[in-house]
Amino acid sequence: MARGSVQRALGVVLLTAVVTAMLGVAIIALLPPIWVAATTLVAHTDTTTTIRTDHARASVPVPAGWAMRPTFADESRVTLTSPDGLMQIDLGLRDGGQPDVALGDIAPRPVEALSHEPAGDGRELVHANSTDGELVVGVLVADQVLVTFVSGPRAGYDAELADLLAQIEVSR
Amino acid sequence: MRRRRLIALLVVAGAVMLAGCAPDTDPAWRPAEWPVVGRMLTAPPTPVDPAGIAVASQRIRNDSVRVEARWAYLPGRQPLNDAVEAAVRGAIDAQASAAGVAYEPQVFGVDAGLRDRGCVPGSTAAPASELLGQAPDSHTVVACEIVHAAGSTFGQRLRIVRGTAAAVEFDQITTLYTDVATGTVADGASLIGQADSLWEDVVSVARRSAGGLSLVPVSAPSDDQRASLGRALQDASFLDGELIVPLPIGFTSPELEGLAGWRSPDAEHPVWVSLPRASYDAALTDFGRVVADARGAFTGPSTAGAAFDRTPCDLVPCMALTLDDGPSGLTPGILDALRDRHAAATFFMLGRNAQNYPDTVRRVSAEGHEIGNHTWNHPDLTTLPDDRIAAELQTTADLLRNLSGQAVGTFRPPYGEVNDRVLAVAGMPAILWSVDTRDWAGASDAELADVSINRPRIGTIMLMHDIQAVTGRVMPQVLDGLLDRGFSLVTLSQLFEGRVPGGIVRYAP
Repeated sequence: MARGSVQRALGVVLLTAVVTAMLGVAIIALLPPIWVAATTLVAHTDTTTTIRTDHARASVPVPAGWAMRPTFADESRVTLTSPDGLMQIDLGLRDGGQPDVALGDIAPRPVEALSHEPAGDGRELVHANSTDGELVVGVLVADQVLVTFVSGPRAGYDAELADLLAQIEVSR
Repeated sequence: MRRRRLIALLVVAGAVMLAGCAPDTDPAWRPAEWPVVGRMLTAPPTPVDPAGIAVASQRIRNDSVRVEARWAYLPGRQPLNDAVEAAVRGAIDAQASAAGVAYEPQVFGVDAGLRDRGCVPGSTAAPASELLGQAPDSHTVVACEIVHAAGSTFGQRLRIVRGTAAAVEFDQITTLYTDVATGTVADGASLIGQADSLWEDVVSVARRSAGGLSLVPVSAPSDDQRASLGRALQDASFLDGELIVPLPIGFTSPELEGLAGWRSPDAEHPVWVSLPRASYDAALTDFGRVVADARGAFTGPSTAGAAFDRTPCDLVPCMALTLDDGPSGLTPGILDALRDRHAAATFFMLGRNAQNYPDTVRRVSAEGHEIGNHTWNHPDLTTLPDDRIAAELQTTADLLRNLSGQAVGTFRPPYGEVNDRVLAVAGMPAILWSVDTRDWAGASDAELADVSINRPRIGTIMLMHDIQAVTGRVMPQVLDGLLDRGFSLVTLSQLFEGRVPGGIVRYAP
């Protein structure tokens, strides 16, 4: 009798462990897509989204078909994804600072030498390619406000990035 | 217990469904493209292969004036040839002025190796120091390259450099295009009418290639930049619908200067920009459009055979090879040797032999050689009465004119025997010689070749016979040797620029 009780208890423990493990795997596998699905919006027409800090805001274009995902509890950042799902641009807003320092902060990988370009209306683009050539990391400087970006892939999508950067409007 | 299981199942199902609600992607979507899609090239465009294009290849060397030049003529009387020759003469005149020496053609020893003539693919893109070589004194080099040959259009690029390898004083490229169907000739810069719009596209391509992301419009070029691009267009090429423009040394613009990927081209790192037709189409002139639209193999004039219409003997060292007593069974082999080397000769034919080889007479004429009268039976004319002299010459002339279509305006008296009476009866110049190879006198092949190659001077009229087996055997070697010395072998008429003087003629002045 005592032997049968022990066996039953071991079976319950084993079953509980298996179920717990399965749930853990399911949570790990499903949570990211759940989060993305729950927070991503797809623009059906050309629109804009706004990222802001305490002292500045930037209007970011979201063309029709693009997906937009804000960052949880951070209004200064947004991620855009192209309709083909291949291009992703992480945008951030900073009230000020040195562009090259900001670029160093956001670069997820080592980058090559910096390029400095006038971007019209007194704005400046500071950017660099990652050494593996996959990403463009940069800062759009407008009225001392910094719009940071990390975009990839670079090849074939640089004109799209340029087009989007040219449409960002910054105000204090 | 059952309720808990149901809730857990619903949670898992909801999570799976939510996870499946990720945004759909559109594989058909395409990212934007730059307004100007071009390419940066770090190697020059593939040169046109001159094989199969009939040109009269030229090369001179002159150690007094210190100039070396290569260029090419198209067969026939093409206006392009005038423009090419004017450019070459301009370079020589400038060098002659700098050297303080009047230009006269020169020849050298066989070891000069001047047989290798004409345009060299890729040579006009070589560094100036490489073209100038190791000569210590300032000198001029003219290099040429065929850069375009499609349809009825043809382009030849001339690069003129002066100075030394250590100090280049002058470096200019001129590309001359022609449409042989109309005779139009224009230089490379004349193919593009709106250099400013091209400037914008060239800078745009360079900017994108260097990683630029700004969409700020390209600023208009300064006068210096516009002139610089105009010079670069001289060196531009049309290739498979693309316009390939070499960026001038030091080329830059405000849009490029801050880009990490931009490097201004220098002599060691030249750069070309390739523009698609859509980019440059609006900038083309009417003639530029003709050149850009040309497709397929070059349909220009084919070679006339051995000889070409144009050989300026004040520019290249000329001599005339003359062959007497034929035609014979040896003549076709000699014609082959002449044809393969683009060399011309004058054949003084006997009427009695011409009637036996009518096809050979026709071939001699068709391949651009000249035919002269050597009488019917090879008599000593000074021993004949006037009527016999006239008959010997007239009968032969009639036959040769009928067979060849040539005027046959000169004669060579057999044995070189001529006097005032013979001249008066003949009524045309008597062509003798200044170098007699005596190929009939039993010399060995080596002896005959040595005499034939080394004795001629500029303006020489050399006597050989196309009935002598030894002459047939050594002809390729003789021609190669003369070409290596720098000679251009021309007909008698060409030697005198079409105006053979009357009386007895032994050589050209």
